[in-house]
Amino acid sequence: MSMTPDQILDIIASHERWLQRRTGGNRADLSGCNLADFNLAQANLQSAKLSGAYLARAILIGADLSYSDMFCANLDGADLNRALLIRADLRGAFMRGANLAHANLKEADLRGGALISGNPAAPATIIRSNMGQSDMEEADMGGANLSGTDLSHSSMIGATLEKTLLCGANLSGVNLEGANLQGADLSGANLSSARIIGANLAGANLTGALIHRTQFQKSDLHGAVLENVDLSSADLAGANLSSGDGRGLSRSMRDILREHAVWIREQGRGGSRAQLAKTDLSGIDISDVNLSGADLREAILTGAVMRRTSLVMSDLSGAKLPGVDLRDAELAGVNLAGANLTGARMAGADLTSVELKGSDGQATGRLWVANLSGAILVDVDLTGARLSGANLKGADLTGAKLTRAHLRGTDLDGARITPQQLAQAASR
Amino acid sequence: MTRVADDVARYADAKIGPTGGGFVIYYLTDDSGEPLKTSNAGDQGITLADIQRTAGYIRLRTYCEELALSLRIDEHFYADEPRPTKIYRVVVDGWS
Repeated sequence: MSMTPDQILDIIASHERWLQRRTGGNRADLSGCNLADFNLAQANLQSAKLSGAYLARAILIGADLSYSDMFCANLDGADLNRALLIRADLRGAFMRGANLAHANLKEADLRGGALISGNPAAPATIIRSNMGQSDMEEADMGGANLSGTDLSHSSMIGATLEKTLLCGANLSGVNLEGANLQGADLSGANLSSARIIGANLAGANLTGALIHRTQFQKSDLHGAVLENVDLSSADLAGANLSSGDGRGLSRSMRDILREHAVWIREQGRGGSRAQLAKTDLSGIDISDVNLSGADLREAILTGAVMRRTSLVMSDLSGAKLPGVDLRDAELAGVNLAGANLTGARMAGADLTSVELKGSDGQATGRLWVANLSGAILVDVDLTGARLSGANLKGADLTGAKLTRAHLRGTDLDGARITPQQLAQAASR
Repeated sequence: MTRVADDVARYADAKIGPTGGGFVIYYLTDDSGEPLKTSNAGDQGITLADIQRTAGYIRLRTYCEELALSLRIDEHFYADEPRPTKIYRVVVDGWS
């Protein structure tokens, strides 16, 4: 049913009287009406009936649609900038290409559903709310139910999605830079190619989420649940993957370590190499874990506990390891070039070379030396550590304790070390 | 009518249907299987209220209430040309 602007104005005026409980007021019922291209900016349509209405390209800037029934309404291309949609029923709504910047969708319901045809034999059509390619920058969707919603390729920069239900939602290609997803439920969501940089995902549930080329740089995944998630193609540079309780490993890290263990056991044929470059793992306890061959370039491991951890031939170049506990760690062939190990405890650590083997498993006679060139080893305890053959060119060993350390064949060219320190060593 | 219970169980159950499915819709159809349109029904003097008063609709609503489900019939925008037309939908929901 097409309506004239005057009719619409009458309905809105009557609706406002109804909201104010004045005589002559009636709740607006615009269900199934064609309101495409209408200008309803700033209109007060709180609790209005707009189920199945056609509101494509309608201008609803600053409109109050809180508690309204917009079930299966079509809002494609509508301008809902700064609109209030608090607790609105938007199940099955279409909002493709809509402008929802700064809109408030707190606790709105955008679940999908099923359309059953008259033919019992025919399969049901699954209806998903569609907000694809929409602008939702700085929108507030805290506590909303967006389960199953198609949000693909939308811009949600700085959006608030705290405790929002996004189970099974399509978030592929979405831009969630700086968004707040704390405690959000993203289980089963599609996050492929999503840009989630500098976002807060602390405590979020990402169980079974599809992560493919997803960017999590500098995001806080502290205490996030990442069970059954393959993070091998994700960019986690600068992301915080520490556990929620500050003690045990987060589930995400457990998954990464489990996959890495398989990768080692099957010699690269299965599992996946731990890719933790630039990742913030401060305070993590991975004692006795085998992370040999892992990519930990420029990782932040401040105060981490890595006793007896195996890091054979791992790449920790440029990593930040102040105060780390690497006592009795296996570090043969490790790359610690330029790493900061100030105050680290490395007593008994093995920093010798690895003898390379050919494809036939036979020794080639070539050695892969541990590389600590340019590393900052200020005040490091290397008591009894084995550094034979290691490259310590230009390393700073100021205040380092080298009691009974093995330094046979160690390259100390340009290293900052005193004769007194060298005298403590067991061999040269 | 038992089909409603089966459909709801199927599409409200995240393990089977769309995750967190929030409703099931049935379109009313005419003799030819096409969606029943307000234009056609209106030509015969039938209104939404008339449909809601039919024995079949009342029976279905009672059945849904017994299952703690909500049932309603509403009109959905269909076309403006050649004349304003809506189609009727039966919506079953009421679960959280």
